[in-house]
Amino acid sequence: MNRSSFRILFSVLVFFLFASLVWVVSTGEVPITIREIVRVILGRIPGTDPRSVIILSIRLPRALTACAVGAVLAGSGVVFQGVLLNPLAEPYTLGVATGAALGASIAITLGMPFVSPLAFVGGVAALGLVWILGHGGRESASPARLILAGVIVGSILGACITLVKALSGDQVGAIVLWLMGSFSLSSWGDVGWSFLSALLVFVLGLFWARDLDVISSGANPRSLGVDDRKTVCLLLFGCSLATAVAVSISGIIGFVGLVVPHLCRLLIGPSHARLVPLSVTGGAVLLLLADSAARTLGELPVGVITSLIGGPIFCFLLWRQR
Amino acid sequence: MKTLLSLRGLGVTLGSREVLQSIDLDLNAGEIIALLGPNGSGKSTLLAAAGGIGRKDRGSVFLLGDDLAGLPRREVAKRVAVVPQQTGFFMPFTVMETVLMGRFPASGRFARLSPADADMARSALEKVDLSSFEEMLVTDLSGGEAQRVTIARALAQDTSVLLLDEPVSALDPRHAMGVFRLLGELREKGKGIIVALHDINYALRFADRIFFLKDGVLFEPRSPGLVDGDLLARIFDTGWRLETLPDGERAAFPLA
Repeated sequence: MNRSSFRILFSVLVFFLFASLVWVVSTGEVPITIREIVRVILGRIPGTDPRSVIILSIRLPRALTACAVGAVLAGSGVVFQGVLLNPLAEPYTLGVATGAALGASIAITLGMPFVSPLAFVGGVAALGLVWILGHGGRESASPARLILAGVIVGSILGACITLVKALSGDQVGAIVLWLMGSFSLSSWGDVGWSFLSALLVFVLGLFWARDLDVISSGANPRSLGVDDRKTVCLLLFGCSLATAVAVSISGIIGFVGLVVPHLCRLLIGPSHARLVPLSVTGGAVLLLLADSAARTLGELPVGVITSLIGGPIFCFLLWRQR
Repeated sequence: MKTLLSLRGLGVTLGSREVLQSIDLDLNAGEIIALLGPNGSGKSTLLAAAGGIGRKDRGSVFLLGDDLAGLPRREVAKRVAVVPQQTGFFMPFTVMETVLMGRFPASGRFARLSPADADMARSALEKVDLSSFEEMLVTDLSGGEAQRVTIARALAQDTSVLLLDEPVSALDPRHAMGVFRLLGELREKGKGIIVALHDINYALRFADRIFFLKDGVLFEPRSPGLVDGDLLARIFDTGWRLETLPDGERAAFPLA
């Protein structure tokens, strides 16, 4: 696909994202017109008005957080797949998301007021463990070894989550709900943190787009002037950080980081200067609409929706691949 | 004569095995060096270390006079291109996109690739007979076509030094000869080339000097005319028949 058709596709997707955002914010138990939304945002409707409260305190933070988390998951998926030369790499296969989930479960069980810090510690600790295991004392880790380490660490951490659930007594319901993923309680603080994470992934992906191209092409990166060890380390840790923040806000939401990058690659090819912006936007759209569906269907966990949509799509992609 | 690449006391140890023992070698401008030796003799390790992409435990590599260890990675890639033995393409980039990656070291992180870069990539593809393959995906290519893409990518780097690790191992005779003709043209332009080979006859025909490597030890270089059966037997542990063909070229055949 050439440059101009990418631009058209990207512009269409960005427009679609904004259109979906407006649509999602205007629909719900209390329908609100676009005109009213604009007036609320411009401050023409007083903050005490119920429409203002619904938009500014409930719907807008929720929609924006969903967009940003979707962007983080899809963007990290692109980076992980490119760096690890593994089409199945994403925050979940590397154990990062499971580590964050364990941290959050412990926080909920202990009745801590904030879930995020412990989730973040869990996510980064899991990545550190996977990194050390994947290297096994050697200078570099093979992609297969890293994924293997990710799966093993993920399984162990998954068992730990089950253990925490079993020991948590009354809190088990809260943990289960959180694990299934939801944006229903998103605050403006969540919007801020998730947007910072999305920005981090976006900047990393774009600044290192050429390095990502070289690494993901399968060439020896060093022979083309890429300091692979430094680059891989930076990209992996940067995206894990963003993922841990996202997971601590939204809970576990699968398949976004897997399906969106694969679909985008199918449309515009593997060049990261185009793939990163397109995937980040696509992830935002997908999770925004999935959350809207979850909300409409009576507050289902959004992770269920993404898995139910993403799973079959991924099966189809897998089937198509030779 | 200008020396482009110098290896001084280059040594590599993997586990308890000394893969390369104190290698000294000078590559001059306008020269093709052939590197020959049995499997596991250290050819690939030598090329990788010389190109700054592999392990190096002892000694130094000097690239156009500068110690490679002190050069930024991009600067190294502007001076030396390495054609690997295995192509190992992963993501489905097009042939053109892949060859354009050879222009990345020269153009930097953000600079847009210019029409001149595209021209260099096209001309590189032409030289390896892949002009009509520009828009094909590298993951759809045959082994020989993929090998030619990696050669084109190295050509697009436009470096003074070219290190090729068995570049014709997957090529049919016509394309293999094409690659050696190409190396000959690069030699005329003053480039320095080291090529690791299995086929002694290519070395006898196209190389200026032949270095033999056995068990990590580099033997004194020979010019192709001075290679004899005894030397080959010592290196490869098998008998050889060397014949001079009617046109004056020499050919070597391993004996059963």
